[in-house]
Amino acid sequence: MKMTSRAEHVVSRIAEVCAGAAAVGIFGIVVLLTASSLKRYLFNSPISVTEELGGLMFMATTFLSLAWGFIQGRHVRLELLWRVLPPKAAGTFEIIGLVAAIIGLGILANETWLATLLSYDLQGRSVMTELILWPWRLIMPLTLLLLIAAIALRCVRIVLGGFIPPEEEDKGPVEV
Amino acid sequence: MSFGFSLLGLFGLTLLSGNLIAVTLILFGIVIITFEFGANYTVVANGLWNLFNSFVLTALPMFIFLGELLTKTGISRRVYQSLAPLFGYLPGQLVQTNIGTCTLFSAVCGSSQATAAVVGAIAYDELSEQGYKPKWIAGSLAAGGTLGIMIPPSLALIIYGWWEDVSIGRLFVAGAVPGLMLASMFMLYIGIAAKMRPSEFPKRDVVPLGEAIRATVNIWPFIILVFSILGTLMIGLATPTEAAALGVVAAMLIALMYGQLTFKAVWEALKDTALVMSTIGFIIVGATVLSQALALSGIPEEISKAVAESGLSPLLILLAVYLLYLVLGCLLAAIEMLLITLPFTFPVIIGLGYDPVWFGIAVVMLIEIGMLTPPLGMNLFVILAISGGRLKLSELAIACIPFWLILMVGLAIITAFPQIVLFLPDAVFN
Repeated sequence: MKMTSRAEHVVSRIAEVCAGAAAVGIFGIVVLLTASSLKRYLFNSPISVTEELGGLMFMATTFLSLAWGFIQGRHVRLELLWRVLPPKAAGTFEIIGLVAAIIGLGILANETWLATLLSYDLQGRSVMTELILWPWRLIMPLTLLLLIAAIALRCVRIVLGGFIPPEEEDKGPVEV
Repeated sequence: MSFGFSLLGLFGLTLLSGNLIAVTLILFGIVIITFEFGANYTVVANGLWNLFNSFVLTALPMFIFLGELLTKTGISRRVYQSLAPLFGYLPGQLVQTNIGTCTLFSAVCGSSQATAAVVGAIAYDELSEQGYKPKWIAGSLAAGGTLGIMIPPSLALIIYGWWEDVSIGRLFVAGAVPGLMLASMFMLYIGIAAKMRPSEFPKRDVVPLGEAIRATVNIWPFIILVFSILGTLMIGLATPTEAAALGVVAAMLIALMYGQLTFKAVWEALKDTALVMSTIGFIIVGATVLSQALALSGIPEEISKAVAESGLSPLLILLAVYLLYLVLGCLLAAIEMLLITLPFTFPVIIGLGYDPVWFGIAVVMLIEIGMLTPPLGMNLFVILAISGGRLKLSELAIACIPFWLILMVGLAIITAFPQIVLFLPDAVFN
């Protein structure tokens, strides 16, 4: 249990740092878009890299915050039936659901990793401004692995420490 | 046969395990690819990369950040306090202020929950202290919040436009008239109710008109903010993404002018934006995987073809689609409902000859209705959380029934008269 707590702490810290990087990235998008808009209005020449870099930064910021969102209980769940189950059954079914999640996300992580390797081998670049793409692609499998780690630790916690009711897990309303 | 059982089993597991909706979508997609395409998942990675690496979507975090910034820097509170004296002249007074502030806040924030949460946090306690009935406070805030995704900028319309390749600029402009129409209908209803049942609305002292107008001077910077977003869009100066960035900069300048722009406020707003984006982003990941699988399987086209060959009238099919959204609206929130249903409903409805811009607005109105529908109407939970246990879900749901009906009337109006939605984008863009 102590090792699980330590592992949870480590994963949580990494996820928080990634979310912090995402927050910085969001501010970066603001700066990039504003600078490009102003340059377009004032000098009639937008920053050429804006569209491609903006898209890449959007992808990066979204994936970087995924694991932190899970740890904070912000991802939307279908819990209508689950909430009325007895705690033991709810815990058992949650474990099955989490294992299924790990399998599904594992497939995604593997596929995005293979795509990253291919991009690295080909030294793939963006069409307009020739930005090198593999470091951006790498964000996908790495952040998915971090999310898998967070889910796996939640699974271990339920197995070792028992099921925690959802109302004690919730960290706040989901804002969609 | 085993394919069908797998999907059914997966759905059952999702319900029983309280699984994440995004994961469920991913698993559905993976099951389809496994059975139909021999587990060739390469398409998933490519789909994720191509759809996520999108410049159009950068408007999403911008608008979320803008809303967070307005809240963290206290600008929203200023707007509410400045509008209250003027709305004091309308029957219903502060309840009308709720709708007015929600309408104005919706013009800079694209989320219903954020609108309800921000205005609710400011208004709930004040109205309670003034002796307003909880049903009016909560009903007006939950309903006013729904305007957040109709009045541009709207996160739901950004996602609809991006997902179905419909001009986001046209969608934004199209949402303005129905949004203002709904706000007017809410205010008309509150006004009539205040006249008919004055005991439910405590009478507040009205400040002299000149003073009330002078108080609104405080919100002129906010009006400039609205113009920097909607004005630049409508006169073709900026794309939605650029308008979002300009809005953020304008909001920062206003906060600076008020002396409220601190590093802490900006950082908190950025962190909260990242969290909201993780929620939306994960749903988009799931929907992307499922949509890739569906596109390969050709299921949406088959449904569309079957509907077209069914001989049913377009109106009947449209009403069936409405019914589907009304049912799903009880169970799902805005973004996931959009992304799950659009692969099926969009080709069917567009195939029948309906305008894609009009359908986007109709779907958003259906989502608004869902947000007020128990058991999972998201705005109900936002207001419940703000009420701090002073309200029950059942009381709140009952309080929302008149507003729910007004939204249904709004939907009927735009269905009968689509030009209400389309005349403004046609005028602006043609």
